[in-house]
Amino acid sequence: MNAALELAPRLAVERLRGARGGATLDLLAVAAFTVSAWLTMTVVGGTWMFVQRWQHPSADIVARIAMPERSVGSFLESYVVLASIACALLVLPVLTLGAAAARLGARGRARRLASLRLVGMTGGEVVLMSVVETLVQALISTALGVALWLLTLPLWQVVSFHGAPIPPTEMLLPWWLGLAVVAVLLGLAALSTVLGLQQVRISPLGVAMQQTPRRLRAWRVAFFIAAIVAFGLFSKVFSTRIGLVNLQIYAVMAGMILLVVGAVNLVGPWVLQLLARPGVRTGNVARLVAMRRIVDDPRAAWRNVSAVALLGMIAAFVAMIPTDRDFLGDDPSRLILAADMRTGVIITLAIGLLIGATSTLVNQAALVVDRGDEAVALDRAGYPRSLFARIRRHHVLAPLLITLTTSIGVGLLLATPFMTFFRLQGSGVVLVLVTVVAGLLLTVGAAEACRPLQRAVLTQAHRRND
Amino acid sequence: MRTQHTPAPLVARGLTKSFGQVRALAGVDLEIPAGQSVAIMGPSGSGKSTLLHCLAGILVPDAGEVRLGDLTISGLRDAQRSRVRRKRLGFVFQDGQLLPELPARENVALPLLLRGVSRGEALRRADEWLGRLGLGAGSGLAGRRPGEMSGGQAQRVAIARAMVHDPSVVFADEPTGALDQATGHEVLQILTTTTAMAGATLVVVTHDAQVARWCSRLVELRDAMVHADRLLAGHDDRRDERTREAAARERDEQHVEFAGESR
Repeated sequence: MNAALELAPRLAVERLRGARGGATLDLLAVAAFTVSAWLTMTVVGGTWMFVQRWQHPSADIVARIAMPERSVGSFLESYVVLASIACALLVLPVLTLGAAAARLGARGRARRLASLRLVGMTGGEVVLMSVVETLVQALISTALGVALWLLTLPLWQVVSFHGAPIPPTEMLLPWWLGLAVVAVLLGLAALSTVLGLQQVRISPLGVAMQQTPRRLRAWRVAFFIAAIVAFGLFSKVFSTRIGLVNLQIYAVMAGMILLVVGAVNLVGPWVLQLLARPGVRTGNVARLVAMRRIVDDPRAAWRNVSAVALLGMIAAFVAMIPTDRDFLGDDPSRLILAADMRTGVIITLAIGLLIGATSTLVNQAALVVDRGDEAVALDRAGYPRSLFARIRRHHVLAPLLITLTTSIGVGLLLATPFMTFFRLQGSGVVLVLVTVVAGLLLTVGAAEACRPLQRAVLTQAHRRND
Repeated sequence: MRTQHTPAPLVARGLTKSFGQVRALAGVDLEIPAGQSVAIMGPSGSGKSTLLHCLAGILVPDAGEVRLGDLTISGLRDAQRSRVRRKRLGFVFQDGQLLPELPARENVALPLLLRGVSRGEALRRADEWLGRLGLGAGSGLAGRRPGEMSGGQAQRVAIARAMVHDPSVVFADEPTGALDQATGHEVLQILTTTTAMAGATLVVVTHDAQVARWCSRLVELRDAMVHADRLLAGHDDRRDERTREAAARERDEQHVEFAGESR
């Protein structure tokens, strides 16, 4: 065990000195983990701010919402519920991104670890070594993420909730909560490394035995249909029992959305696999390879777009909620709530799009490295280098387009039970369009960002061979 | 609609190539007539892989030139050399050349699909080649992925892919390096026979002395230079005859260049 602990830092330093594909991969893993840590702190910080405003409302805020004193508490509490839901929606993709970053690091090391197995290291030592390395990476990234979070705190002053801007101190976490978040991030990194290594199945005789792809089962669809039916029935009962003016309607709505979101995450990979399957019957090489990759591993394709899927749905749903005085009347609390919901959604969207792009980048980078040998062989055989970029573009865009179309459709469907209250409006349409365009641009950007890594993989191979 | 490339001699003159302080090639001259099968051998670091890469236009020599027929490959730009490799040359490597997500027949069809040949036609020709190499419909292997095949079967798929677009020259870099001896020899026999039948030139880099028995000529490199170059006794003379036949057939056929390079 001592040998493993001694070797880990030395090998890590050598890899960074080598300034080759491995180092790029490490830097990418650190960057992705930093984004994950930064966004986690921000999301938890935002929720904490709402908790504080509810527990200790300032006189300024109470004056702004101009409500009877007995209603102030439940009004502010509903913000905490909504923020918790946004937090729940975001924390999972953010943590998944952290896990992907850890796996990325582990993958980059797989080959070297197999060599160490061959010279006599035990499986346990190899895993321990990898976990130590990932934890070092995660520690550095978390420190960077926390620094980024602290640096960006003053920027939140431009955002207002309850009609009052957010001073930096409001989003500052107490030490115990900050430590808890860091502990969760590090624990998850360690766990993902162990799982990631099992995925590449290190044995003394071989590396990266890719698992045979399985066809996803249809029970996913059954669950999805059941969830949608349950949602339909529930919303019918719900809309007759409770008055629409009640603020808690939003909380219940959000709870139902959460159920549908879970169902969407189950059915998503299945739909991607189903729709990509006819795509393999094509003569276009880039599309052929991309579709085969999606059919083989629809869950990986889904991981890149799940955050965006969610947000497409939310954007479509919230786009239907009116924000204008004509409809809402002069009640300040109503106007504030409607405006705040839109602000909240825009922030959630921005964070979700960042997660989606970073996740796409991490997964595509892992693929570039995993498929390095094939890329080199194809390059030598004279296949155009642009082919690799075209494969990546098809690989990320097809799932994104399928997902956005479906999720926006589902979002509008979810809004239909509330159509007496909701309606289509210009600013809402703009919100949906901006989501679609931003999602597409960020995803394509992430795929294109892999070009330098691809070049490094191809160039390095030339040198190695000669 | 298919293009069979005219057999053309491959000529290298005064090739030198260095990597930093290390000289990999120090003035190599080599003339390979169309249809000949050449084994390039030599100890590690003798420059045999570098020579193959220069001959195939993967690397550009520091000095000297490489010509395939009338075409000076070494003088072309990177993208042009890629196009020549894709259209006129075939490659068989030790490993990594097959895409794991594609079944054998799609792997074989890749060079044709890249030229814009329709999927149906490309798969038909891929099946034809797989059939010739014993991996036809009856074997049940054409629909399998590389990961579900033995090393020898995967190399046969690679040979089919190298041949499917009727190349002038096939380059093989340690094609049996990852195989056991018996399978390796079987693969080499298939490779030499197949290229001979098609009238294509074959250049094999290998460390296996047994390989020579399947080739018509042996070039030995030592210290970045040609140390020995000899025709092998008992080599298959019919090869040259087939090449002449292929050239005659070529003249009789009307050729249509494929469009749709951007695919």
